[in-house]
Amino acid sequence: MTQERLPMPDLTCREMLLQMGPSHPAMHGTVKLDLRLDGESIVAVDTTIGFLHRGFEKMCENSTWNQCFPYADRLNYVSPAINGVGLALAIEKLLGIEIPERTKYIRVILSEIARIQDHLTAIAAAALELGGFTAMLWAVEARDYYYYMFEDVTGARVTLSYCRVGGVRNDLTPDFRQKFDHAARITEKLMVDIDRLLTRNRIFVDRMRDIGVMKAAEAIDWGFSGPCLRAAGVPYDVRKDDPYLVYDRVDFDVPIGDRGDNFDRYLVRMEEIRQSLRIIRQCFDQMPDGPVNHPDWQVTHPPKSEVYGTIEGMIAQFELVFRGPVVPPGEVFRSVEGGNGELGFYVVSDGSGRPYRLHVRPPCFAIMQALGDMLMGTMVADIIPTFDSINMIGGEIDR
Amino acid sequence: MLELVLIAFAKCVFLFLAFLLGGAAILSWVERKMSAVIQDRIGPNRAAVFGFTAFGLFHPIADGIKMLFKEDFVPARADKILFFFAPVLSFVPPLLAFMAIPFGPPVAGREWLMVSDSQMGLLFLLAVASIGVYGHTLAGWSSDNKFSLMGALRTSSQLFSYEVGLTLSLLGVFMVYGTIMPQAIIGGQSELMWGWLPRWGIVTQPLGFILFMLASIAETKRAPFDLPEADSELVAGYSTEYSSMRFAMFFLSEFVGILLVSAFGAVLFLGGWNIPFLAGDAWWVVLLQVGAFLAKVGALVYLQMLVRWTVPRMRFDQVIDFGWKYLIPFGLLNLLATAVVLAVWR
Amino acid sequence: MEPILFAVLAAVALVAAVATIAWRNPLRSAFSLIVCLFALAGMFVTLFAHFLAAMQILVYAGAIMVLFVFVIMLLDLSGHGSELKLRILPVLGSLAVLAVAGKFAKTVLSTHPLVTDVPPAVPDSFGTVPGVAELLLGQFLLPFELVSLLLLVAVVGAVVVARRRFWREGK
Repeated sequence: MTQERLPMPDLTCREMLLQMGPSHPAMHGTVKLDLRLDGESIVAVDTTIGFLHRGFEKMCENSTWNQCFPYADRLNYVSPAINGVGLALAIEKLLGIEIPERTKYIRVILSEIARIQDHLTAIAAAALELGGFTAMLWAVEARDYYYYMFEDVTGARVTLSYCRVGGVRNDLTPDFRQKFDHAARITEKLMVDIDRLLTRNRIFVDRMRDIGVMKAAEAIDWGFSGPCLRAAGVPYDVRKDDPYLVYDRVDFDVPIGDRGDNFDRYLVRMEEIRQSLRIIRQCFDQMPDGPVNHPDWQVTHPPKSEVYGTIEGMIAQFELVFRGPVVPPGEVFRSVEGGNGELGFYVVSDGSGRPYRLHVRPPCFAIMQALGDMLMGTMVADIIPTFDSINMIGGEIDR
Repeated sequence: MLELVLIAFAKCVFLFLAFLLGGAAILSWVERKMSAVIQDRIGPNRAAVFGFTAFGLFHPIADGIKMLFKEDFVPARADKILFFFAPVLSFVPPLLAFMAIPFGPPVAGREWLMVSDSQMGLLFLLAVASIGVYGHTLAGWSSDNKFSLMGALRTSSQLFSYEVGLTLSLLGVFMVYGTIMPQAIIGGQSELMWGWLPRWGIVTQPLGFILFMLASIAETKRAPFDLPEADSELVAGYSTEYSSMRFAMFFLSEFVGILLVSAFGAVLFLGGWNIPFLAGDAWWVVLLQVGAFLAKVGALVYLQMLVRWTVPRMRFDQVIDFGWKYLIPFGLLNLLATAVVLAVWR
Repeated sequence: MEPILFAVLAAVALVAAVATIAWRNPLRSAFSLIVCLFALAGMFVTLFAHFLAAMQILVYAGAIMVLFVFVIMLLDLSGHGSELKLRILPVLGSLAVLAVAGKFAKTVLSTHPLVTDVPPAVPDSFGTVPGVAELLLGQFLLPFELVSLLLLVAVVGAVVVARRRFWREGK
C-alpha cells in the first residue's frame, strides 16, 4: 500500500508544501492542514484549529445558567440534543436535584436520536468525500426525518434550546411515537441500502481498511473516546461505564472493532445506529406519564398560568429570568456519551445565577490531536476518509 | 474536389451542432436527473420559459448562458498561452474523433452518415482521442496551483496507463473481424452465428467488452476513476482555476468523451447500427438503423452513469495498480485466447 | 490541393520545430514538439501513409510526449537552464546538422522529378495497415521480433535499474 521511498542520492528531490484548508472543501472551513508531501505520500502534517472559535466558555460566564443552553446547542451541531443534556446533567448534579422520570426518558430519547443523526452524518460525509454521493444523500434523507421530529417538539431543527435546568422546555408531542416509528422504519431500510452500497463494496473497503489506524493503547494515550476508541477495541462507553439518566435500565450492546482503522469506525457507527434505535424503542415502552419539569420554582420556570395568576409565580419567574437559577457554590464534572465520544462539562459555581467557570471537554479535540500521527505515511487521498471518520466538528473543537 | 469538401463540411456541422453539442447538453440534464432519481431527489426543475419547466430541460441552456457571462478568471502567475490552449485541447480531440464513427449504413453507395471513411479507420479515433490528455495536463500545469498540478499528474499517469488497456481490449475485436475499418467491422457483426446468434462484438469478445468498459470509464475520468478532479481532496483537480466558458469547455468535453466512448463501444461491441434479422436499403430501414445506433449509445451512456452514481472513488495507487496489474494482463490474455481460437477455427 | 496542404503543414512543422528549441519554458517546448508531430502526421496522410500517420500521433504525440510532459511537470523550473556550457557544442551541432541535411539533399535530389523522370514506385498498399503488416510480419519478421525482444530487454532493464536501490536496502 504505502510505498517505501528512499532518498535518492543522485537526484535532487524536494518535498512539496501544501496548505489544505481552511477553505478547502474537505476541511469544512474549520481546519487547516499544512502538509509536506513526497509525491502523493504524506511526510508531515501540521494541524491548525480555531477557525470557528466563538468563546463559548466566556460567553457562558456572562449568562444565566439557562441562557447557556442555546450556546451549548452550537457545540456539536451534528448531534445538538446531546450537548444540552450534558450541560443540564452537570448543573443538576451541582444542584443535587432529581429530575422527573419522564424527563429522563425524554432526554435519553433525544440523545439517542441525536446520536443517530451524528452517525448518519459521519457515514454520509465519509461516503460523499470518497465520491459515493448516493450513499450520502440516502443517509441525509434518513436524518431529515429526525430533524422534522425535533422541529415538532422544539420548533427548531438544529438549534433546539430544549433542555432546561431541572427539566425540558415542554413535553413531547402526542404523535412523537408514531413519527419516530415511521422514521425508524425508513432509517432501517436506508441502513440496509447503505450497507449494500458500501460495506462490502471493494472500492470502499480498499479506501477505508488499514487507513488511519489507531491502536487501543495509543488511542487511550491520546485520550480517544467514543466510536473512534471503540473501533480500536476498547469497550468504553459512558452510557455503560458511568450510566446516567436511564441508561442502566435499557438493554443495549456496545459494538467494538479490532483494528482501529477507518473501516472499523464506519462499522462501529453503523452498529451504534441500530443500538440507538433499540434504546429508543425500549424508552418509549418504559416511559411513564407525568410532569417534565422539577417542581421547585427556584430551579425551573413556573407554568405561565402561575406566572400571570399568582404573585409567587410572578416573583419566581422574575428571579429565574433576571438572576438565574441559584446553584450552590462548588465545582462538578459530568460527562455524557456524545456523538463523537465523551462530552464532558466542568462547571464551577460561586453561588450566583451565572456560571463562574464553564469548561467543555470536547471529544474530538483529543482525537484531532492524533490526526497527524494517523495520517503519517499515507497518501493525500487518505486524508479524506480519515478526517471524516474521526468526525471532527468545528463547533465543538473550537468552542 | 470542392463538392467533397463541402459535403464533409456539412456533415461536420451537422455532427458537431446537432449530435455533439446537443447531445452533451442533454447528457448534462440526463446526468442530473438520473442522479436525482437514484438519490431520492427531484433534480433540476426550476428554469422555466413562460412558466414551462419541461422537466428541467431548460437547465442546460440556462447553464450555458450563465457560463458565458461569468468572469473569465486567469491566475496572475499562470502560463497564459498554455492556460488558454488547454481547454481547447481537451475539447477538440473528442469532437474530431467522432469523424470515424458511422451513424448508419452507407446510403446509395456513399457514406452520408459518417464524416470520414479514411483508411486509418478506428486507429484515427484512438490516435486523436489520445491527444485529449494534454488538455487536462497542461491545464493543471499552467494554472500555477498545487492542487491543479497534482490533478494534472494524476491525469497524465492515469490516462497513459489506461490507454494501453483500452487499446489491448480493442485488438481482439480487430482480429475477429480482420479489419480496422468501422463499416467493415459492423458488416462483420451483422452476420449470424449458427443462423440465430448475432455475431456482435459482445458475443465474440465478452472479456474484451468488460475490459473496454472499464478502460473507457477511466479514460473519461469519471467515478470510480475520477481522481484527476477528485473534488474532496484536490478541490477540482486540473480545472480548479478555470471559470466561465473555459470551465464549460472542460465540462462539455467530459460529456462529449462519454458520448465518444459509448459510440465507440456501440460500433465495436454492439453491432453499431446493425439490427439483427433486418437488412435492406429502404429509407425506413436506414432510419431504424440510425435509431438503433443512437439507442445503443444511449444504453452504454446509461451504464456509465449507473456506475458513476453507485461506486465511490478509488485511490491513485489503486487505480494505477488496477490498470497495470489487472487490465493489461487480462487484455493480453484476451488477445492470446482470441489468437488461439482464431488459429484453430480457420 | 495537395501543394497547399503540404505548404501549410510544412510551415506549421517548421515553426513548431523552431519554437521547440526557442522557448525557454520546457513545457511550452514540449507543446510545440507535439504540434510539430501533428504536422508531420498530416504530411503522412497526404502521402497516403495512413497507418504511419495514426501511429505517429498515437505513439509519439499520444504516449511518448505524455511521459515527457509528465517528467517536466515533476521538475522544479525555477532554476533556468543547465550549467553545461561547452564551446565545442555549437560547432559539433552545426556539423551534425550539415551532415544530416546533406544526406537528405542527396536523397531528395536523386528522386526528385526534376532530376529523375521516374517517380519512386510505391504499391497501393504502401503505408496502410495491411501494407505495413505485410512488411513487418512477412518480409521483416525477424528484425521486427528482434526489435520487440530489444524493447523487452530495455523494459526489464529499466525495472532493474529502478528497483536496484530497493533491493540493495534489502527490501
